[in-house]
Amino acid sequence: MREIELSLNQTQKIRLKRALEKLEYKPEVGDIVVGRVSEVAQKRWRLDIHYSQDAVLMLSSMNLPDGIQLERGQLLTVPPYLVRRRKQHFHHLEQYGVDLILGCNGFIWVGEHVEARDDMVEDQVSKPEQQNIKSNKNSISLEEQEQTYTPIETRQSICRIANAVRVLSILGFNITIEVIMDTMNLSSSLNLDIHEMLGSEFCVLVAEGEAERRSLTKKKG
Amino acid sequence: MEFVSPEGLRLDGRRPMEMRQIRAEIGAVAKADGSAVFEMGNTKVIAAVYGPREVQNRSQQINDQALVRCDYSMANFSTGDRMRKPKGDRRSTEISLVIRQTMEACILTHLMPRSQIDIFVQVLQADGGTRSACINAATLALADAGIPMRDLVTSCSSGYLNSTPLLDLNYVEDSAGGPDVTVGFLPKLDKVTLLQMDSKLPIDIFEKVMQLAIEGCKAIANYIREIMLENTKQLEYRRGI
Repeated sequence: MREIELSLNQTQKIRLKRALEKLEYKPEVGDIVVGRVSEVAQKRWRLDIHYSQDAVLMLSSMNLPDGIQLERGQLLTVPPYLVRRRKQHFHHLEQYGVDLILGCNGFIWVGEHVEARDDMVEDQVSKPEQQNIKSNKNSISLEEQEQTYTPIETRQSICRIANAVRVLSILGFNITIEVIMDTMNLSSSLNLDIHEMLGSEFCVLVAEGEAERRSLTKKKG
Repeated sequence: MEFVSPEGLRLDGRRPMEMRQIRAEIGAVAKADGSAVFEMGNTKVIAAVYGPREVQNRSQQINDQALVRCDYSMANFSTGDRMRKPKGDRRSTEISLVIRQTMEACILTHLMPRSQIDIFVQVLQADGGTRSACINAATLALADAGIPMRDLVTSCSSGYLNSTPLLDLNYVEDSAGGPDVTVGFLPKLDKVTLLQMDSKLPIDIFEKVMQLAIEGCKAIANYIREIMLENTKQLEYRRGI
């Protein structure tokens, strides 16, 4: 990196930096990411985190089994630069019974709310990887499967939130919990069906909302 | 056969030094990291780039640079007669290799060690110059994916028929069996990265024909830059910068 910078002028340097910023996702210490298991080995799992290298998760460093399982939900992929690092990345939307995890790497998890077990110590390292419990699924008996039934309202909320995220990512707006909620409320107040949220009419409405929001923040500033 | 009429017009009504109309569009494949469609007259090509990502085949991993892979294919409906071509025939393997080498030369592979970049190009409509169109589409798709490059490689072909140098051959001119020079060019660095020729030419005429192709590359580079600038402006506008 340093050698080539010497031969570049200022504009080119900025351009290169811009290009590298968009390049997938650049992991930093303390980022909360959502990963997708790409390989299961004896002592470690490999996770696809939308970067040029896979992440390695040592099984000894996490406290599964029976932690929070990320299942019954949707994993969305958006351009990583749309998700900014913030204090809060895990959101529990109580009114809908939905969990929302905004990974810095552009992976977003929307799923049914799961209660954390008391005996589980929550730490940032163990959380993102829990969606991979799916491998255990086969062993769940029929009775248990009935317990894991998700009510239709929750499923609809999950889809509505997921579509709100999709609309925002199509339009290229920054994705934050407030904007997602605004988009979702807008769609419910208009009595739109879930599939109608991806139509162009709704995109226009969301874009208008975003323009208004930006003009407000500018006035304050 | 007469390829240039006495009035100085070619079969499709162009002048000898005239290029076909070009059109480009960024972001054609939603799931890819970068994608583009590139048209040169009736030739239409779509390119998608995935990566840099983890190397799929561990034995191919290179420890100090990225692995670049390229896959070229022609849609069954791309040519006049619908043909079912077996995958991996000689022609497409050769073009895959050519595109891979050209792109590898301009990607700063040492910035992304132990990773892999996949380039997929497919010809949707073939009317001569698919090789060039594929390279142009791949450049745009790589730029869209945000992959660091030395320069934007562009490519254009030229030929020599009826004792006239012709720019950007179409299918009829291409299949005439005359000399056909394809050039890949780095416009900012003023360097040639790809040079291929079918048939034979005297050296002084060859230089003329090659210079013509380079001029074509420069024109394409200007257009590609315009398209990219427009795309970047739109992205910035969306993010409210």
